[in-house]
Amino acid sequence: MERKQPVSVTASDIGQAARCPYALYLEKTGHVPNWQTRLARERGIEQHAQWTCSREPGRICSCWGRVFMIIALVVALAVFLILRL
Amino acid sequence: MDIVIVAIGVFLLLWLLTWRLVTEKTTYGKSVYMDRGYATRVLESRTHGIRCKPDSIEAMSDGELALIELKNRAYPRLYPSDEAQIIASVIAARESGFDIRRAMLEVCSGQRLEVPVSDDEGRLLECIAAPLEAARVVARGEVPKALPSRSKCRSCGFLNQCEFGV
Repeated sequence: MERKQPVSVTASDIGQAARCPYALYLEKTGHVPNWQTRLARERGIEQHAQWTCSREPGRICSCWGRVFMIIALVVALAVFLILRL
Repeated sequence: MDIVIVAIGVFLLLWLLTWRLVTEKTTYGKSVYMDRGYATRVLESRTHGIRCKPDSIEAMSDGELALIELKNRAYPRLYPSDEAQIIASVIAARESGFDIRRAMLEVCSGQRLEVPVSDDEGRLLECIAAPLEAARVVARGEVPKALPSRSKCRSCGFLNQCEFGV
């Protein structure tokens, strides 16, 4: 006799169910969380993308990193112009 | 001609310095799996019906594979919900071919907290038995039992819509 497969759930849902299964149920049935929670989730997604990017070898992910690169370019151009005069 | 060479030299020097500065990593081990979004492979335990996409799986210096879960909080603190999620991920990752021996929770500051994971699958399943069953109840479309508590309800995003909130 074939064994019946259990209902498939995600590890994230299991974590949420450990906190409160009813909150998970509300979320799955289309209820929208308050704005603080939505904001925290958006920040979490952004931070995750940043974290993943920072682990890629040689990639510049931070806003400051890009600013530094632009400064480097401007300084190099200034040196070029000063030396030309 | 000399001016151009000097300018290129200055630019390259600055570029290298900033590149070193901004790409400094805090990785502890070599990444063998990373959640990069929709295209990332879903790890699954068909036996127990658990799916997951852990944030990262790293090969540590001693050769052991560690599952890393990132949390958006300032201080390393492990909640029961984090533990349940990590243990469920370990079960799914092991059945998907990753021989996970360690698990860690990483926070924004880069600090990591070790989560003890048993080699025995039965023990791991025992740890998450209640939340696993609750998640299955929800997946079947049934109404689960609420677990209200003052501290949890205060930070719950559904408090205004919940009839059990305290």
